[in-house]
Amino acid sequence: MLIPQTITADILRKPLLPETFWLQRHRTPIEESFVQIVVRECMQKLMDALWSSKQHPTIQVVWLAPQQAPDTEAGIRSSEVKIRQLVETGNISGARRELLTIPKGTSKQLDKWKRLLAEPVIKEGRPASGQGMSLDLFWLQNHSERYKGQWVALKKGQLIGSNESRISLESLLTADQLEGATFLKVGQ
Amino acid sequence: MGQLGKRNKNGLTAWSTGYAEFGPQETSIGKIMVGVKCQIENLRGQDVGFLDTGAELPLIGGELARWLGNYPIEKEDVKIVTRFGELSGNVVRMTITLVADHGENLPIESSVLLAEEWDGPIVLGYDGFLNRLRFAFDPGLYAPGERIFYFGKDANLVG
Repeated sequence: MLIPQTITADILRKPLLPETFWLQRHRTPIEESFVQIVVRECMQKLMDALWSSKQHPTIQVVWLAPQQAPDTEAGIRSSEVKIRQLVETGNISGARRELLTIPKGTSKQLDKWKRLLAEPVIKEGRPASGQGMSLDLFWLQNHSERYKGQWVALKKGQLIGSNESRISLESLLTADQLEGATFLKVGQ
Repeated sequence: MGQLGKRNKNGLTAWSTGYAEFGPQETSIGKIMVGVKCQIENLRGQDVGFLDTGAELPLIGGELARWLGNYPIEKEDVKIVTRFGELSGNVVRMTITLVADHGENLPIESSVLLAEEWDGPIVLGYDGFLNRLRFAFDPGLYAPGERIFYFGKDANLVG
């Protein structure tokens, strides 16, 4: 059903984004050098459009740089140093890209970086627990002098408690008080 | 107010899944303009994070960093150069939840820098955190109580 054909610039322009996302999420476990990607809603829409215009749908063939393990101790060490340098110069995305080229199991340290620097994962949402912010900010405007340098816990513009320590303040409050409470450090 | 929607040929679909007021706050690094409520890992109370599209990693400092760093979690010692100077700390994985006033809170597990010496607010960076979300602001120009931060998830990115 799917027939490879030359991909025109027009076809490429629109559907690239979903494939990029797909690659970001699945590239690491894939050992193949070539991957056929015909997934996701956007691509399906494109295929539907192509069918309706009596053209053949397209297999998009994406080249993935093969993962290659550093084959010597020095090579592994060099990769570890490079990842650290990227992280420490604030280039987290660069470190992530570099880690993608290194297979899992190359070294314990590199596996650790892979886990620590994995792309963010959005989890299932939970019911809203916030109670607005303007009343709390209004309270701050009027009381900041008295509580300078302290942590305050506020709920709907009411002071629940204050302490020099954020953690101690939380431990002093009951579960009911904590429900929806916002902790703010009063500016010095 | 309600969630933001996206109109397409099939009608209107939800674009945001939660929204909350945001506001400015005086901090040790000056006035932050976009403070949003967030909940760190398993703390019960909510904190205010500085939404910073110029930062890569979320950053938690001071006492919170020390307390969270005591958890038996995987971490790596680093010295990271930031625009506020060099910070020593640990890179860890942690869940930070964006707190909604309406709709759904949105928990995000991401890499986080815990740096005890950082005296500023919690920083929610772009590349390692916000870039997986949809988000939008209503500046509430004529109604300061209606400064709204909308956020949502792409169903395909939920882990």
